[in-house]
Amino acid sequence: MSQTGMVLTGSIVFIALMVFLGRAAAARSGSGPEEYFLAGRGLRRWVLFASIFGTNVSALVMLGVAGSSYHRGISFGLMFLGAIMFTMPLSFYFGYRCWLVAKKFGIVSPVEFYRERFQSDGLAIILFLGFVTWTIPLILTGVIGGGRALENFTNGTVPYWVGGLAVAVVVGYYTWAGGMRGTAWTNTAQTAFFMAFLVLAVILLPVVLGGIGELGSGLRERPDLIVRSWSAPTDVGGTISGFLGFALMTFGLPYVWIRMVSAQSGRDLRFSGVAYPLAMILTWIPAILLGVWGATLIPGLEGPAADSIIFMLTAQYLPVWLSAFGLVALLAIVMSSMDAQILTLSNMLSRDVVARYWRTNEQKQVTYARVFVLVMLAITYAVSLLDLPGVFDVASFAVSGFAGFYPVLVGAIFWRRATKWGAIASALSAQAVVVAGFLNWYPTVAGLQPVVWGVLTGAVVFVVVSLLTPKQDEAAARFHDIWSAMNRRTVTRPR
Amino acid sequence: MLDRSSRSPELSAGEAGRRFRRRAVLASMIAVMMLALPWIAVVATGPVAETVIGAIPLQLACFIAYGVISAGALWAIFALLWPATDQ
Repeated sequence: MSQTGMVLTGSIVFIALMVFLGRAAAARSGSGPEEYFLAGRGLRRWVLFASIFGTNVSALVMLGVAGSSYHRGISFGLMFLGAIMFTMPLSFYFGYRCWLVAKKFGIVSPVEFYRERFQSDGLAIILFLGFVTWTIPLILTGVIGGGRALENFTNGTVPYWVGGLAVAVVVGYYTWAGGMRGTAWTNTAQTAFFMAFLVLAVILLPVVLGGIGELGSGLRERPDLIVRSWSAPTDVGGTISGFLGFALMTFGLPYVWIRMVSAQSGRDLRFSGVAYPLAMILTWIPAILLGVWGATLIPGLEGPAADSIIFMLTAQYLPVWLSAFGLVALLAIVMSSMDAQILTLSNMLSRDVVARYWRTNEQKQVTYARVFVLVMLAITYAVSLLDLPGVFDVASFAVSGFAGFYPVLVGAIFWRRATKWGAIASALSAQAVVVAGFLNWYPTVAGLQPVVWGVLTGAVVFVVVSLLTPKQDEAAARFHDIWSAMNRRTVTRPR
Repeated sequence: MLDRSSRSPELSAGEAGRRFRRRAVLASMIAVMMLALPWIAVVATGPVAETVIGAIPLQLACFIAYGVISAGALWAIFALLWPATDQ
């Protein structure tokens, strides 16, 4: 079978599996918003972990990490992954607090959660607009990435518009049909696919090339690739910025938040936290190594061309079947983020806009959400056909936008004295600083990126304005009493 | 896993608070140590070109070790702070 034939066969089998899982999940789901949006709060161990990890790990790993490692060696990976590996999963403890309250009060979305915590529609609207603004470019890059991947892997047999359409239709189907359960089940398969591909590629490449020593001799001629560089963009300021952005982003992502509150128990969340660093090793290390090895095996790639280095290596040195598997892995990593993002947007539109302001019944919320899934994917697909060169810049900057909400999101669950005015002022000021930085309205100081200034500003404003405005004892007590009781249970067995 | 059987159901609110704070301090110390570890490694080794060992630089080996230690540290922090029953 030719390479194109094998790639097409692999893609069709993968798509059929996704459709099957979506159908199976739909058949298992009951009715009502909690079933559709949160899988009945019943996600357990591996499915919960895979759905969170798969959602949080985007095509950035296979493309961006490998491409940066190609150009800059291990500096990029070490800069982003050092302490992040430890701090990112701490979010699961914050998530547990949210899970407790969300379960007790039947809360389904982060916007709803913070509206109830602060009794503020104004804050809810700001969070909703912020989450939507930063999520849409990410969905768009998913459709574009999927379309381009199918076109490149099949040497143009599948044109870009067909590839993008296929990705949008498949994601649309299983998200529409299976809701959270559908996306969680497909994410489990998708996470297994992309991790298996990366591990296989990093093991088979040295085997095919005559041993790891052969690759090592190439690297001896490029010592710059294996030394931690402290020049921009991986200088101290860049490192702190990357660390803050990525470490804080996880809890700020609404689609990760929703998966956390979909857990069946706190123990399942806890398992996800402990497993997270190990899964990161299995995905990031192969991506970094393949990028570095690629620099010596296929030298001379300029700029974004190096983003495809993993797939160039598999196509040039590894068996055809692995190349086909590579496309499946790339589609898997793209879809696993896209489905969660689209489901979360539809959730927030249905619950936080339609149900909140038009008082629909619960069954209609699901109907609206399903319509939103299809409409948003249709719009996203249509926009992906336009030439929007800036969309990838905005998408990569979304990390900073989500992190800008961090002081509010975390402060609200740890600080009783926090007020809605503090939260609103913090969210607005942090977003303003982040966006102004993106537009280069102020200079970069000491290599620190806008995310640092945004989070710092948000935190200071949050504390100061909260202390200067009247307490919200009743609203705070409703949530914090649950967490105080939780703290007591940490040291005493409940009677 | 901490020995949860040693916990007394009779702790007063004040005692429970103090005990929780002790656990929180211990968990924070682990967190600070984990955050400091990569920086200590950077300061200790400096920007020197390490020997390439089987094409896997020393940094990457340290990095894998850090990931494994992270999983252990997270387990310990969660064991300290997570409630005894969480259903």
